[in-house]
Amino acid sequence: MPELNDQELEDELRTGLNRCVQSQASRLVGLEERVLAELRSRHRPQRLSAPRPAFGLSRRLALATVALALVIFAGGLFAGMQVERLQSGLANKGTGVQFVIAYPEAQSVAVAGDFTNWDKRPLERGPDGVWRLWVQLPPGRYEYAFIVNGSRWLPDPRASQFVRSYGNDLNSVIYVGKGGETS
Amino acid sequence: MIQRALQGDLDAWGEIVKRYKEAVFGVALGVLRHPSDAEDATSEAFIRAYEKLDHYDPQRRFSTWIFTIVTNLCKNKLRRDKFTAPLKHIGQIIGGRDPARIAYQEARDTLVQEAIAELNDKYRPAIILRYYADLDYQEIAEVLQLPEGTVKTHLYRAKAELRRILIEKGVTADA
Amino acid sequence: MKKLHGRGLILGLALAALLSSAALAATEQEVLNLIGQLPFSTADKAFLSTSYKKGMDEGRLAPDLAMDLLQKVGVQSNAPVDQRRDVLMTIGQALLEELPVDMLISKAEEGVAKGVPMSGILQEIQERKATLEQVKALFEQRGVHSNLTDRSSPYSQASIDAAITDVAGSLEDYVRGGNNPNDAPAVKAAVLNTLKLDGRLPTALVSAIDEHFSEIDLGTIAQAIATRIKNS
Repeated sequence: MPELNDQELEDELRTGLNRCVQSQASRLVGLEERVLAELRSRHRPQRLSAPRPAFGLSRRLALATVALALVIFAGGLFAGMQVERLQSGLANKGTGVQFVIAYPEAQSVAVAGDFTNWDKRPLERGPDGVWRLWVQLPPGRYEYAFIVNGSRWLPDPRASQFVRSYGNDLNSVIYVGKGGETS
Repeated sequence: MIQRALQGDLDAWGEIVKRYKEAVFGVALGVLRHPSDAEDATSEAFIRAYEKLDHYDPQRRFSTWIFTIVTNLCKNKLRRDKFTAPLKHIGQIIGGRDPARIAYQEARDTLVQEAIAELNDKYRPAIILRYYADLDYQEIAEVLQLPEGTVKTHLYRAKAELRRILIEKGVTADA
Repeated sequence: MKKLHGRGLILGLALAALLSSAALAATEQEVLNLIGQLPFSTADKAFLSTSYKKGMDEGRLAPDLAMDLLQKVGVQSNAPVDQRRDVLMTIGQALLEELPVDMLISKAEEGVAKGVPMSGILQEIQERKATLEQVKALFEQRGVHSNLTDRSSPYSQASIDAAITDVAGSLEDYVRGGNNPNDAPAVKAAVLNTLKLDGRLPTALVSAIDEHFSEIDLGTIAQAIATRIKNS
């Protein structure tokens, strides 16, 4: 069987890549609105400036300021993403289950799953930027996911199991045992 | 329009995002392979770009600049995932690439996407920037911050590797 | 005098309780009425009425859930009428076959919530219904019955239905997640893992499944799922 020559390979790559992106095009709907909403909600709207020797700052001080600002900025972005991953999750207190996710920048967070008939149930935002909701769940197996700002679906990263649904989507799974224990 | 965004006009930035989001997403998707990660990286890239607009040199092509930002974001994520793999290490994802599953996807372009996904992390950005974003060698070199010669070598090796993977998957020249 | 008074009070309380619960929960009749209003042919509506009534009478379909499904798919959706009808009729057919339908309804509602095209939802539930059929057949072949079918069995229909749902669901998750359907031991392990964690299932039932369902039994269904997805 003959190998693909250069031109054929390049054509396949171009077609394949383009189709891949097209198949995911629905994800991009409204992306500019989400970006703008995020930018508007940030507490520090001023942009970082490069050091300008013309203003007479000593070089060391200028570099230190920029470095500090970059660290805070990068750290804030990174922490925001990590905090989302580390602090979401489930805590079980007997018969109730708490759905938790830290997402200070969100305007709204909801949960939807088997136990809500996939209707969106809003979580409550605490002053610490952590969103919570208590739900009574009888024993069983439940698939669910969070919805941020009304349209962005994401699984609960702290769940113990994930399953694929409708192609590329991921749902989280929680089990409630006989004694109310969750996993 | 970029001038207006520089002056703080957020709506102008919104127009820019709308214009470039598909291209940026395409790059992110090619490098990260996971659609929702790519979506996050895309939003992230536009947020950072806005916050760094002071650093943007208008002599440069805007697309090259935003591609640099998103490529760096993606490379960092790949590096982080090697150690922490946030979504994947907790519990079991009932998922993963399995040869038996790949056999069920007959569509040729799906196999091509698979092949690209299996490429070494090091080579994939160059392939994406060349065959999705249609950048020339000099632009790719600028985005990846590599010498042009290295870019050419990466592309050469990546294509050889892709040919090999595609043969394994049964994608050969059409009769 | 006293006796009549007492009875009246009890009747009054019972009536109040009945009325208040009826106000909150949907009734079987409301479900049938809603079916009657759907934009489908008379024959199709008759099919839905018969099958959904059977499901409600046999305890497999809660009227509240039926109302929710019929509203979301039958009334509120903008998808083509024939696709919406087919989704509802697939579930009706499952009820006629005495299959547990929780997984099908849940997947349909999930699809609606996420904006999946109705054709995609239809395909998904048709595939999963086929899996449910195979799993139910396996339960019957291996002699794991409810006390309705076999009076000597200790298992209620509800727990058998839950077990069928979990076995089918975990097989679907395993294959759709990209795992190898030809690895029969891994298939069975994945299934048992789910069964053990689900608090609805009596431990004895999980043990019975472990004992009577071989790796090949479950692996065969996994391979069938893979073929269905491949051909879709």
